[in-house]
Amino acid sequence: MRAILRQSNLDLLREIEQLRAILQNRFKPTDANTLVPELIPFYQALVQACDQIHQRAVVAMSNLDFGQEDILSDVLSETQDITRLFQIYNRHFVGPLLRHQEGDRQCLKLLNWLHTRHPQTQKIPAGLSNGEFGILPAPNFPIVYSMPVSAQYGLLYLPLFFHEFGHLLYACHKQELDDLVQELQKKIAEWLGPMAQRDDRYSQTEAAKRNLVVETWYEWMQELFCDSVGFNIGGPGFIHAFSMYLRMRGRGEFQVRENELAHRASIQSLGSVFMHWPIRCIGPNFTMKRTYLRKPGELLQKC
Amino acid sequence: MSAQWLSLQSFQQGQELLEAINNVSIHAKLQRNGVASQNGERPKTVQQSREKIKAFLQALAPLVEQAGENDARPLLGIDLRRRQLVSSFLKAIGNPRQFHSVLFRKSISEAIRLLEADTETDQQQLIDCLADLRVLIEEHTNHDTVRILGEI
Repeated sequence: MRAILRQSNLDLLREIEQLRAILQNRFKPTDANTLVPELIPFYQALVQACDQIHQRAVVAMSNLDFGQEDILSDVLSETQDITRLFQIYNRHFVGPLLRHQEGDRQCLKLLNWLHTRHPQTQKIPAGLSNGEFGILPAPNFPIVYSMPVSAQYGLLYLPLFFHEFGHLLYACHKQELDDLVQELQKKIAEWLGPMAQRDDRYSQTEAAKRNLVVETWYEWMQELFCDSVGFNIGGPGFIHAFSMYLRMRGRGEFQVRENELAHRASIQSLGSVFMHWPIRCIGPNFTMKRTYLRKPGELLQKC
Repeated sequence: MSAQWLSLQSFQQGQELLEAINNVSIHAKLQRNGVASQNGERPKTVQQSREKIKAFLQALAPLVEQAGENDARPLLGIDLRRRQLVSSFLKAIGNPRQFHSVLFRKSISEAIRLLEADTETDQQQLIDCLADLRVLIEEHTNHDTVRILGEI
């Protein structure tokens, strides 16, 4: 076991060093395909992440040197953990650097501008990837936005990045926003509550359904918050992009079966239905204004 | 629009927690075996790891208590993956053959106390708690990994 773990960590260290070498070669100023300035912070964040994973692998190796049998399970877990982390970097965070081309600059400039407009996002690097519209917004990771290739060459869908940026804002203000969502969920739970309490199986089933609806509002509110961010930044341009994006998505995108409710995080139908909300939860400089969302009942009445 | 954001955030929390669990567990076992740490930075890292586990358990405790009640009320202000983690924790409580540590058999607050305890018995109980918690978190994080990376 010890030998396998040592070899696994050595292999991982070699892979990390290989990735670092690839990134450094890509960044040579003499290379015709060298990085555009907008990606330099992303590159630096990735190199730093490689160093941190490398350091964890070195520590895992040094733990093996203690010669203690009973810590092998811990070292195994640690090795698996850093291997998974490295795989995720390899899969999602290297691509934006290696794939980049001059044509990315339009999107990257917009994303960098978005990030610089908020105090908590201005130091977070952004990259661009090919794929369905989306974002990977986890604190401590560089942020990757994705967009279908054809959309990257036009202006129409650029405002959809504003929605994705909303997920990052939510992550940056998580506790504050979670508290607000909790207030809303309490209100919804009250509204959905039965007029009379019974103690039978039917009531229990109905209560479980109500709980599911109330809990699912957490994900819905995050999506709605992101829509409101998108609308606030992009205005009619965002509405147009969103409606163009949704118009041919089909019935499956707009209806969720009850039994799928607990496993589906996003619901695009709500975004389109509630798009007209004049939610001003962020100001001109994206400063949080709690007052509007503090009154969830009022918010719902406006739907 | 992709909902991978939820899995990545959950993955990040899970992998940071696993790192903390492994740090504390290794340190506790080395201490038990009388092996001094050769790394001067280690005690500080271990203390930070303890704090991280403690914060996680303190946040989890009221959710588990609430979800475990007979007339369970909805879990508010937390995302889908965290709700699923609470559900997994409750299932683990109902599975004494696999999860037999104090964390699942007695209480979360007792496990929190063990994080700061230093008697030999307490240290052994802490090691058992961390091993059980790691199983739960690894299962949860694997699910996130599949969502992010896809099936192998």
